[in-house]
Amino acid sequence: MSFQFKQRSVLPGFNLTLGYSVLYLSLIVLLPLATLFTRAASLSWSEFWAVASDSRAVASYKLTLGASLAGALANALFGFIVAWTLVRYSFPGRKLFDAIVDLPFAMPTAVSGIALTAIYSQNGWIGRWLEPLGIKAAFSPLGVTIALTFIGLPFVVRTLQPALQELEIELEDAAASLGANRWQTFRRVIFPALFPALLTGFALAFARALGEYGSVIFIAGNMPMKTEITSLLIIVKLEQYDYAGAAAIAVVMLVASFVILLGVNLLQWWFARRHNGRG
Amino acid sequence: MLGAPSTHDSGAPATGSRDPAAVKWGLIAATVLFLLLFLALPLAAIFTEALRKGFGAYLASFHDPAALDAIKLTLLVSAIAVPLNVVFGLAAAWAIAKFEFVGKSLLTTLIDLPFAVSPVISGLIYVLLFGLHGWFGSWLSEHNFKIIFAVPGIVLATMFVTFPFVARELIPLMQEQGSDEEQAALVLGANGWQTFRRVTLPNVKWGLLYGVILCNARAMGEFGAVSVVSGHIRGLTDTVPLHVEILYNEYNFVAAFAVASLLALLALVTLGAKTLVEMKVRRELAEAAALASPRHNNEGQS
Amino acid sequence: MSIELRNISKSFGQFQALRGVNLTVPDGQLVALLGPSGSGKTTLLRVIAGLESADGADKPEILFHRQDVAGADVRSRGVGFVFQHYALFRHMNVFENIAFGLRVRPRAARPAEAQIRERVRELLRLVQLEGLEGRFPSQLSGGQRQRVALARALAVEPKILLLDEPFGALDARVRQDLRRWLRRLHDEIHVTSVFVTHDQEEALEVADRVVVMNKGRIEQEGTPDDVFHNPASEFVMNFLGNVNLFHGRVEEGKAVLGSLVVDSPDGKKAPGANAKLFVRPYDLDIRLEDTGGLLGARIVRIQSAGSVVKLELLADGEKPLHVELTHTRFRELKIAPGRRIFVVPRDARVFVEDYTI
Repeated sequence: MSFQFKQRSVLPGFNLTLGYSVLYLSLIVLLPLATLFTRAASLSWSEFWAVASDSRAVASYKLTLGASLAGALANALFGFIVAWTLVRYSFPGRKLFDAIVDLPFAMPTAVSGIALTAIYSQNGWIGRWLEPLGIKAAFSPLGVTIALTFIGLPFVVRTLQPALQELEIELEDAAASLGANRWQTFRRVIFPALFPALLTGFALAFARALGEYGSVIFIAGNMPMKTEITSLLIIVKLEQYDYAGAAAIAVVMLVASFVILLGVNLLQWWFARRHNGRG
Repeated sequence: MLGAPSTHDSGAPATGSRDPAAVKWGLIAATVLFLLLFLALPLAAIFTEALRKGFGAYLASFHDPAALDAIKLTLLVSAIAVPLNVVFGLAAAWAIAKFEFVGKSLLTTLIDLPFAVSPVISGLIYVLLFGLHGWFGSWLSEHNFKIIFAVPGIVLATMFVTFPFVARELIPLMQEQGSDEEQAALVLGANGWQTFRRVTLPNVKWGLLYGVILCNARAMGEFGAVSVVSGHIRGLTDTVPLHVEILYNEYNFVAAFAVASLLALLALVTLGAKTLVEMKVRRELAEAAALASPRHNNEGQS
Repeated sequence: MSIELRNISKSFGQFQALRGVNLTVPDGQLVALLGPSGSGKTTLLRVIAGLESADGADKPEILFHRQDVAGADVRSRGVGFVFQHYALFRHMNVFENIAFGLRVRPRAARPAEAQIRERVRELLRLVQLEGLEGRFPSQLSGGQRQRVALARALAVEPKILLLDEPFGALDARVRQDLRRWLRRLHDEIHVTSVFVTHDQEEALEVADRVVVMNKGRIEQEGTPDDVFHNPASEFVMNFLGNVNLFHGRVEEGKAVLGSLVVDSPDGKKAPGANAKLFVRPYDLDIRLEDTGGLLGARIVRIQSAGSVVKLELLADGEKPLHVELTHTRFRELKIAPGRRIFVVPRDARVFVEDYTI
């Protein structure tokens, strides 16, 4: 059997469309991305390490990672409730609430950023109620977390909804007929079935939060070492014409989000294998 | 991968609930309250802040020539980026959905790559390529080309962040539809272009529109990537989202929120259009299934 | 227009779909390609159309009216093809579906709009779908879609009509009607036609000639009578209807199967070989007394609702047998389940096992 790049087909246009796609992909995406790595590689290992592990950079990693994780966890909880309610119950305005879930996705991030800042600053609609409780929402790590929760919500809800819809009602009826109460059914039948989707949604929200910029910088306050996210630090380096430094930190960030996405794909593969009986 | 949450079926709930009424209404209340406080409130805040000093002040914000320039630039940028990504999306979907070739899944994964890249990095890579100290920097400045801190850079960064939208809508749709109808058209004597234009394109028109809507919304609203390459030159390299930031940082809140309200309206229109088109896309898929055109899988077909 | 195929082989990866097929389809005939799934019949049809290209070591030849078209692409072969699932253009109504082939012709060859309308009306009349031209495929029944697909294929006046499982996706009742209709239509338009089916009844009822395929090869080719009454191989015998199988040996030019002895012309060539005896259920008769050379059996079940009476028997040695009797014969015999009877073949096919394999 000789090696065949492409199966024969009567449809025309393969060379043209594939050639164009690969060329365009290379020019717009692959080549520019490759520059990032070559530029970072222009630093020696110790220089790279010095930039990447600089205390200001480390503080920004901690904030970005911590707030992204907290936001993604909050989304896993609230997103689950929202998805469950939207799929399982009918109530007035359900379709409208379903549509509004995409708002953080459709809204330009800068607009979300200033809107959230307006609400959570100390005389804002919500901020003024938090202030007497001693909670400072805007211009604090909490503000960063709020913004990252905001932009991540659609990812969890939209990943869970199809999974919830596909969940067979018979499964729950079967559990009930075997004597399980509603909570046992949820914990032992429903939740395990939805867990892979929940995990995917969580990871997507997490990865998106790691790189988020627009919605965060207004509410963060951007104080170095305290409320400065990694994305912003890259811009700061760029403004000082420290291209190599910017590239080094960008590589750290990019690798972190790839590792997360890869991890999720592996977990999903593992779940799929377990459920399809190792095939 | 990161990006547009996928099309889902938001039809009516499949069955009556098996949950106790208290649980059901408790969860509904929690959901409604959460969505109102967390999502609807920021939307309301934009319009409230924009109209804080009355409707006159709101309208006056748009008399600023810089605001008008920003709107023009944003329209220009998406008028270039969106059609280019549409052409790419159609080409990539045709190659991936209608043919079997080595490396197909790698290509599909690479197309999604920009969704996994932070906006700031999406801008940064073009600075590294074309900036003053970038790869082509000195060559560009010798020949008096300006990409970074100029419109071409903004277009490139926008193309990058909106790159996957059209392709990722079309690929699954065209895969689902198979190629039976195209084969039928060829047997009837149609050439490749006629087949594409008369058979394939009409079959995916709603999916294509859906991709265009998402692509356009992102193109007009992109902030991080554009912010890195723009240089914020008022009247020249200032897009609408960047203009919002400038006004905001100048403590000109009414004007900032007024301009932001334009983008918020765009987002609402996008959501509305998306909801409508989503139903059409689902119908396109359902019809493909109902007319039962399973792909010729070439394995022992007989 | 006649079709001649020589050395047609085709493989998909490791799977060999066709192994050196040679076939001639005479002008104006309606030919069935019959076989189980995986036998290569659809692949052969698609090779004729130009939707697949033949491969293999020997140079494949495809001749339409003695012209080699093997190198011609699907557009220029001028065949009509009806797809298994019809592949109707779902965004076009019935009229536009049928008119498509005329509309995509190069400007010089394209008929005027009025001519296109006239041609489509004519075809709608032919396939009895007048009045439905405004409907979309999703608004049609399976049988109607089938006829639209046929009209669409006929619109371009093909010299050859190819149909892939034309009745496969329809329910039993509609199938019956449509296949008679297709036969009448063919008698009317007389275009050389090849259709693929896995249903032997369909092939025998509709076709002028039947080509039985198995594992990428042609097992037998002939008129329906021919293949049914003179099956060339075990496979054909088995595939064309229910059959009872007996194992035995060849002795003195006869096949000996337990107490049964049957003439076997092939037997002289291979004395001592294993023999297989195939008997159709309606070729087994029943006797109430053993008159020698008969096979004893017990009646397990009788099903007499239907055009024939079907008996399930258990022959000596616990071998299940199927017998079909006319109602007249059944009434003569006056038999009931549990009764011991004797079986005799009226007609049988003996296949001597081939040692060359």
